[in-house]
Amino acid sequence: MPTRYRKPGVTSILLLLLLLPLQSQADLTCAFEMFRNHAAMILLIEPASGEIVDANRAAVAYYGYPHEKLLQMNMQQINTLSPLETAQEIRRADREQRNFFVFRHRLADGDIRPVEVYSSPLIVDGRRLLASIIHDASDRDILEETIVQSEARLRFAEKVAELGHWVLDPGSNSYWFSEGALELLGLDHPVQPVSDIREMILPEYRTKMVEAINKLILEDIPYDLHLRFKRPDGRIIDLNSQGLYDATEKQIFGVIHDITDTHEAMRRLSSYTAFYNRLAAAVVVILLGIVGLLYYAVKRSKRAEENLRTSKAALRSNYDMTQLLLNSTAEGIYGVDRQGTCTFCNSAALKILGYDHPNDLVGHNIHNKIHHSHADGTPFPAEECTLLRDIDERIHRDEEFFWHVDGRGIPIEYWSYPLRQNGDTIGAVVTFLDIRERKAREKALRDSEERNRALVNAIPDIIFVMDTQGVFTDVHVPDMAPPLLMPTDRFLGHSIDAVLPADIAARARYAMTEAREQDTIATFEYQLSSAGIVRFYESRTVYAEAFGFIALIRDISDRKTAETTLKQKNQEMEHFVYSVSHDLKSPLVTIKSFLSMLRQDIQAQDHEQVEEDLRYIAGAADRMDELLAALLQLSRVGRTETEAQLIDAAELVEQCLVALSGLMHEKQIEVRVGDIAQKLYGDPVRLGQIWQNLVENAVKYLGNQQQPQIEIGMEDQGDNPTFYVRDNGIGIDPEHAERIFALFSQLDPQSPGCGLGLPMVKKIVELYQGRVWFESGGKGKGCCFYFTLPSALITTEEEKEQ
Amino acid sequence: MNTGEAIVILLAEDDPAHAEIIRRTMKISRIANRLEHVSDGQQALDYLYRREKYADPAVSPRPGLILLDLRMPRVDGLDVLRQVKSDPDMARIPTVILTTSAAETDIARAYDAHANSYLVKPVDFDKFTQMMDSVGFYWLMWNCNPEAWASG
Repeated sequence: MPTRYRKPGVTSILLLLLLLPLQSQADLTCAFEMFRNHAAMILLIEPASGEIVDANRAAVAYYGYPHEKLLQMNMQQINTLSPLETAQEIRRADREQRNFFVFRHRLADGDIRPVEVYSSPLIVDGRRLLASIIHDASDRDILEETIVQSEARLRFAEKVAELGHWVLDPGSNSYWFSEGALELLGLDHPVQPVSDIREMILPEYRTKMVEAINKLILEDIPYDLHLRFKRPDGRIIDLNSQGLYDATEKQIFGVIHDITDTHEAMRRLSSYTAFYNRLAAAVVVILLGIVGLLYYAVKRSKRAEENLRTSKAALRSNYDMTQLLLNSTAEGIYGVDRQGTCTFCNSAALKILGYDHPNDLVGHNIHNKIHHSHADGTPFPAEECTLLRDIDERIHRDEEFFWHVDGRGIPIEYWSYPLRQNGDTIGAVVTFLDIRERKAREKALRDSEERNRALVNAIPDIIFVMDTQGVFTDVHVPDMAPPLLMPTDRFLGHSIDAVLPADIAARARYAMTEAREQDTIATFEYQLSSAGIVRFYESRTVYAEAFGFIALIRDISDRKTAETTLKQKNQEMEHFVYSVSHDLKSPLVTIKSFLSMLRQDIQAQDHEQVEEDLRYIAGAADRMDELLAALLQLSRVGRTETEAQLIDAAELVEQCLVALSGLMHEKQIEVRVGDIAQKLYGDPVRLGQIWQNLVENAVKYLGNQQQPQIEIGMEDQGDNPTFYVRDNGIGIDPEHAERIFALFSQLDPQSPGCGLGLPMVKKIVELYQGRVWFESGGKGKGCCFYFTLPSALITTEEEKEQ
Repeated sequence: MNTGEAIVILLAEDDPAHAEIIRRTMKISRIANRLEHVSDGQQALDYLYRREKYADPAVSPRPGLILLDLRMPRVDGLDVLRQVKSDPDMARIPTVILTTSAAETDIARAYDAHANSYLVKPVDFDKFTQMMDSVGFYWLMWNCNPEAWASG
């Protein structure tokens, strides 16, 4: 039977109807050849029985059977669907108004392929036949699978980048949201009424949104908006929303992007970096999708357009989506081929580099265009550029510059990913960020940290940081602070209770509680001793919720010493004023009392009593005079009497003895002077008064000694000589050691003087940074006064050199 | 009121002029009690404990009142006071501080050491006389001497 249909006439009719608008039937042979040789696979089928009446070369080649064999076969041997399934598909095609059926055909080698069958009825020699054009749909299946995978990647990318997309069908008045979008907006169902979503947009942003969508639908102007959106859980997020109108589908396609984080990231540099790392990861994923899509887009464009219309539509919509995603990111993205020619670029790349149109870059050598110079402006030859040289590698740099169209250098961070095809690198995709702001921020942070460090270093305090449990987490010892008594690692990681003495730890705990509960600076003072040195500290504790406690420890030893000295001086002063008032008041009482008695005694003409009264009055007056003179002298000790000069101690002693020679002779005192050849630099009058007062004091307290002796000398002839004045008089009870140098503290009322001699010695000695003390075997065993004059010696050394 | 033997007064005063003033004001106030004068704190203790030249009880009868100056050589009046008041045998002897010092610290220290009274020597002689008159009436006449009371 099939042979019948091999007639040229029949074939020519078929061709006429089906393929070629032939002008006449004259060229039947030619038409037959065209049917035979046409690239499309064509079968002629008897519809009732399914017998194959004829097949062209392409069909023969596709199915893999010899031509003769094929003409003896039935369609049921090729079509793997059961008659019932086939009938269902035919009905489905009719219902869906398609002009093709989708079947699965078995080839000669057993392979089963998805095919689309376009069938048209034909009348040949009065018989109803079907002419079927067979199209292999395997490629489309692969593409669809790729799209599914790509969409899966897209979903992941959305998630990682915190992106989402939606589709708005104005007809249905509802949104469809992607998984990423649902997560972002906190919604649980992909389809949401438009009105509900509008409600969630904060009121002040609603008008803007509606206007943008209207403009998009009516004028096809894409929008790019910032919105604030209140999620059902109450959280308010910042959104970047972009929309694109798909005129063919009559749908709005949009991308939303959570920029709450971006704002947060802007505030905190650490999150900032993390955010871009995440974005970069998202970009990689998106790019992988794009690569796949582009690959198939290129491949598909070479095929017969007719058959691929639906696939292409799907592809295009996905490609559009990818474009939108590309353009919705802040990163510049461009592609290069192996020669360094730009193959595509996104709008952010153009924006960062100041170009208006993709063609300003696409087709140009990208290195010469945007990467021609180093950061310092020196030329950057293309052959040295890592982006080109290592195009096979993944590259990440953040110290190079891209150049703006106006000639400005822009610090950028870039990532380059190789594009591979069949194992060969065909180019690369470069993603880059303008990091001027980040650099500025980093610099600001660095500056701020430097300032903080300088500030911290300027604080003379030791800084301890403790967590809320009182465990030391950080210790800072400033350069100028005295060293800690323990190394820092004795503190770090340990509790205050483990490190500090119990009493101080308890006070620190108390201060911590106080600082925390009363939100104040809690202070306390304490002292620590190490190796015999006692140091005083002041602790100031504050509480900060972020990390616990900070305690500033200041060494206040110097202040304490000063305070103690001041206290001593104050006491001395108090004592002095007290002594003066008391000792001056005493003779005053005497004078006034005896003046009254004198009057009475004169009235009574008691001459003896009058004489006595006058004696007491005169005595008191003399005592007052004596006191005032001594006080005056004492007050002058601090002041320079004469110019400081170099003088020998022996000379001073000799002058002193000459002045007191009358007294010595009268009391028959034996005076011995030892080796006292010591140069001194100071006020000779004041220095002389030391010996004079000490010798006078010795004379005063010789008592009833039969062989009174006074010895003047010097011990320790080295760097720190100690001078002494020794006597064999009444001696001093050691319990008076403290008192004898105090003002007006004469030990023996029978002795002359007013008790200012030894205080004066003390004052002069202290003026020369020295010390005065005495040793005595006790009462009746004599006494020896010692003193040193360190500062008078130091200057002497310098003078000697001169 | 005191009865029995006349009270012996111990005066510890380093300034002989002041001792003379006290003696005279007592005379004016007709206080005839025996007055024993020592001129510093050491002597005062020697007297009370009958040491050295005060060993003979006839020389150093036990005083019924001590008039004590604060600032004295060798042993300070305050030290004498502390020793007296810390000795159970002496503690009951009324001890009156008689000094030129009106310093708060001296007053506080004196009372801390259980002084029975603190008097500041007036510069004016009439007032000095009035004061000694009062001292005589108060301590020698009206005040109950512990030992007199015990023996009576």
